[in-house]
Amino acid sequence: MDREFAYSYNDYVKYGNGYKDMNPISKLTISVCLGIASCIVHRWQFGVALCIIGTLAAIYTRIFKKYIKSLLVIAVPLLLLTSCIRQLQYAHLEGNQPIFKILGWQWYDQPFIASMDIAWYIIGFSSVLLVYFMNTEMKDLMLALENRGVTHVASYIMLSSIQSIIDMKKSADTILESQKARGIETDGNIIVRMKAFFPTLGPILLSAMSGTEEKAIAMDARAFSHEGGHTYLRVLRPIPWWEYILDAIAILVLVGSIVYQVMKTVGAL
Amino acid sequence: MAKENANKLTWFLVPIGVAVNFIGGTIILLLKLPIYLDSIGTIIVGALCGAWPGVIVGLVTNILTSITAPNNLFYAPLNMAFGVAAAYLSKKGVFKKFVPTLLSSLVFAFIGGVIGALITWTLYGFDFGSGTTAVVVLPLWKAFGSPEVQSLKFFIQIIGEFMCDLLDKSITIIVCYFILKAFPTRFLSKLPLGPVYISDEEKALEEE
Repeated sequence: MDREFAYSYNDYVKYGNGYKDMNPISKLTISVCLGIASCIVHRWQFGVALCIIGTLAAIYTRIFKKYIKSLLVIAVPLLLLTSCIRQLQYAHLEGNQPIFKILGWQWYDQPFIASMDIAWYIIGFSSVLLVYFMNTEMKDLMLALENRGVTHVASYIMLSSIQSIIDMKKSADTILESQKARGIETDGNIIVRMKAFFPTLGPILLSAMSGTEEKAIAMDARAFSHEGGHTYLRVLRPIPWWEYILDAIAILVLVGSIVYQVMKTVGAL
Repeated sequence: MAKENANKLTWFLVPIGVAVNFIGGTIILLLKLPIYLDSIGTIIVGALCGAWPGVIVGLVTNILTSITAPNNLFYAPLNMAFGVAAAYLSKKGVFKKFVPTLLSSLVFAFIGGVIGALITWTLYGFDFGSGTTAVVVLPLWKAFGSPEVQSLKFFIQIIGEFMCDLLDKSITIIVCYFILKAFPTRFLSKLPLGPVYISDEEKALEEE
């Protein structure tokens, strides 16, 4: 039983899902290449296609609810504001064709298409990266990067930052409640609320900063600064051949988008 | 040896700086205030530890915020530039007195204005963005803009970003000033730029 438990640390990290089990760097390559391609192509069609791919991936990895919530927070204001602003800016552009009216406000085709191009390329970019971040544990990503030669200090900074945010959020809630209990008003006009900000942030920050020294000593005692090789409690699966192929396809899409944009700029398309 | 220890302490301060950037924003949300205050950690770490740690705090903050809002990644250079500016101004002793500190908010708002406008400009197809700055930018353009002069449009975007950033950065910098004042000498002396904030009397006392 004990032996079984000990040897379980030699097993590869598994989540039981094809996408989640992929190597974090392979997934990152695919997401970043497709995201950058969306920025370069700058067309609503490409953005919508990426968004569909991202949504299907979110359904497959069972994160749809969380994903769509975050995507809508980005997409709805972006679509609404960009299209309204472009209509206000370019309503009198030469060659504009009316398309529809909203509460007596006439909308035109050219500013509408321009706003859709902008909004959808950003939504497409966000979609693929949201799926990536929601399906990838930061510790797996940092481990994969360390395996490729990135220093362990980088891993510490990323992982410790996430933990510090969680810890500080807890203490911010506690301090805010304590300050309320001793009579500091957190509701009311803007000046009253602003005054409550300083006594809340001050103690959190000073206690966190002063605790750093002890943390540094404690980490040094655990050989944090040791220059030699490190050991890990997680083992990532070796990258299978098909992940390299997927990466190559994503890189090809990126190169294709650059070629498309260059040809469009020089007037060949 | 002392320098090596200072460097080590710096790496441990970076995650705290990132968390402070988040918490500043969270408290502001809880108190329903109309500002961001999401670069306090970057400026403090930049001011105490130097440009590189400040840059790293800025970068990591934007990487982590992009987990829920990936478009924040585009604005990472902005937060990184705040770290560099904080380190430079700190070396010059700007954050030691209140009035120069307050005036330095102009520098941060200028950086926010120029780099922010450049990023927004590029992101939105060399045109106005759709963020809160649009509230300032569109009336300005209607009043002074001309469709033929593209550079004027960009200049208006810079002014809009600068005006929106000025209030935020002024409050951020005041918060940073009081936090820097509150650090104990014992702690400051262990950081690369910490000695800047130790008065001569305190230095003499420490030497004794």
